[in-house]
Amino acid sequence: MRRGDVTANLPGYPDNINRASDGTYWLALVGLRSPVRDLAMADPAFRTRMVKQIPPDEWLCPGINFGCVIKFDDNGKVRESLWDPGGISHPTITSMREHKGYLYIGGLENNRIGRLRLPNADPTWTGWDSYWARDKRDNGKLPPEPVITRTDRVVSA
Amino acid sequence: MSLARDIVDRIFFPSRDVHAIPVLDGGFSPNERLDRARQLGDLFDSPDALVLDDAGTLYVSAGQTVYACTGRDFETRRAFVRFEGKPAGLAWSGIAGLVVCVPERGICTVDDAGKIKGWLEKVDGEAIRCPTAVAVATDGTIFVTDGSRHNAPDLWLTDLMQKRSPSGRLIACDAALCNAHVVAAGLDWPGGVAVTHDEQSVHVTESWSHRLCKFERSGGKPQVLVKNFTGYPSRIARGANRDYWLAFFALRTQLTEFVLREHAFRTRMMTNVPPHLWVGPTLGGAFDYREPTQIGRIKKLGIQKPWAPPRSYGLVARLDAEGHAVESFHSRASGRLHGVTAVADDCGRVLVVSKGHGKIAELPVNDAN
Repeated sequence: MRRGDVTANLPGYPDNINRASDGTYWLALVGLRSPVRDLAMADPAFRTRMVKQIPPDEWLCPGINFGCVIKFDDNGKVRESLWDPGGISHPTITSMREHKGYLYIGGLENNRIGRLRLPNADPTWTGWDSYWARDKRDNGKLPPEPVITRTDRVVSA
Repeated sequence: MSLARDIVDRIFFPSRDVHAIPVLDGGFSPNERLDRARQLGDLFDSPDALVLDDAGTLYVSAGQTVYACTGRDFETRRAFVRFEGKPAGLAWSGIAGLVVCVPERGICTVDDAGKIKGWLEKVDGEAIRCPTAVAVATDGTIFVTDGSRHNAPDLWLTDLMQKRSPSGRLIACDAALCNAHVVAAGLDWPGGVAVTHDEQSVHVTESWSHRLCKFERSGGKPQVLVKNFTGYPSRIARGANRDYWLAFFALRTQLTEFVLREHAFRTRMMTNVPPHLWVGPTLGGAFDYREPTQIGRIKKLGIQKPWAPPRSYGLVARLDAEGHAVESFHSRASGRLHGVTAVADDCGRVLVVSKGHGKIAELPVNDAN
């Protein structure tokens, strides 16, 4: 298998990736790059001294108090981006999943799951149908709807 | 290299002052009292200093203007005098009127009608480029601190990061702005000055060496009252109870101190990165997603930890005559009153300027901590 860059030089640190209903992909940026951190990343000796001389809480890290999810296609072109600039509701987003017209957002450090309505998405599309190729496997016949209880616990983004 | 140097220093100079950042303890114990300060009137556009005159009018320098504020909460405001530069430190003199520091120009006195009476632009043939603070003694003598020979007050972060040899001065002149002379030179960004209660000497804060010194009015060798603050001391003002109010515009962090030791990295950072994105203290209030972040600042369960390494911080302390902190007012990493640059004591009512958040506020002095 040959490796090629789909997207190069992203503005942040990519985390989970997942399919979108329109044939593109969702990507969570867990942290954003900053010019000073880029300089530090290019200087291993500086970073070695940093981790030896100052405590972990003080280390330079990516801009983690922001929420950002981007959508890109097979050519690596970024189609759109979703933001929580101040990290008010959803900082440090590590994963997202599209399901029946909604995007569900999760973060490793968070006590919440976000849900965002996607106006132009296919409302019947689910990730497991897409990944397990339901349309090819049993002629597109749908099983009974799964019952989702306790939707009152879901907070809209 | 600096790690090797540290080890060598510890072996060969075991008693050398390591100048590590002290923890906030004793009189500096963290609290949320500064966040409980009551905002007075509307927001200002980057207010810098404030002073009260004998009649109780409050003067606030903000942007290019000095405002005169009256009313119970100083909510009635009018532009008093306007400058080409951004006026910084203010002082009130019963003899000379309002004294204003103007960057790249010097200091001037302003009469009751808002008309400039005179300028002091040079001392010993050298321009006063960076007047940061001014204080007036009862006999009318004016003391000015000139922060640096190299940078204007707006470029304070550049001055910190350049780490040049200290070039600040303490200057004295009479009420008519004549007979100016240098009382002390070679100060490391003197950012605040206050005449002591007994009128015999002058307190000067040096921001980059994090200390508070006491100079005799005639000059000479200073007495170092506090040699190692946790923050960068800024303006200092006399209190009503023979005490002093000291504003810290930010706290030192281990990362900033580390970058200050890393000469090559710091030089690259200063060449390649815009100043507001450098590692270093800020006054707060602004927001940019490209800012450097530290791991301790990560929001956990949606909460910004108050004890996170602070990029900006709010701190005001009350000091006794020896410079010991009696009490302090904090607005921590998660707080909303950062970058305090000036304090004024109005007969027990203490007013502060938060330059970062563009406010003036009244401290809750009589709360039960």
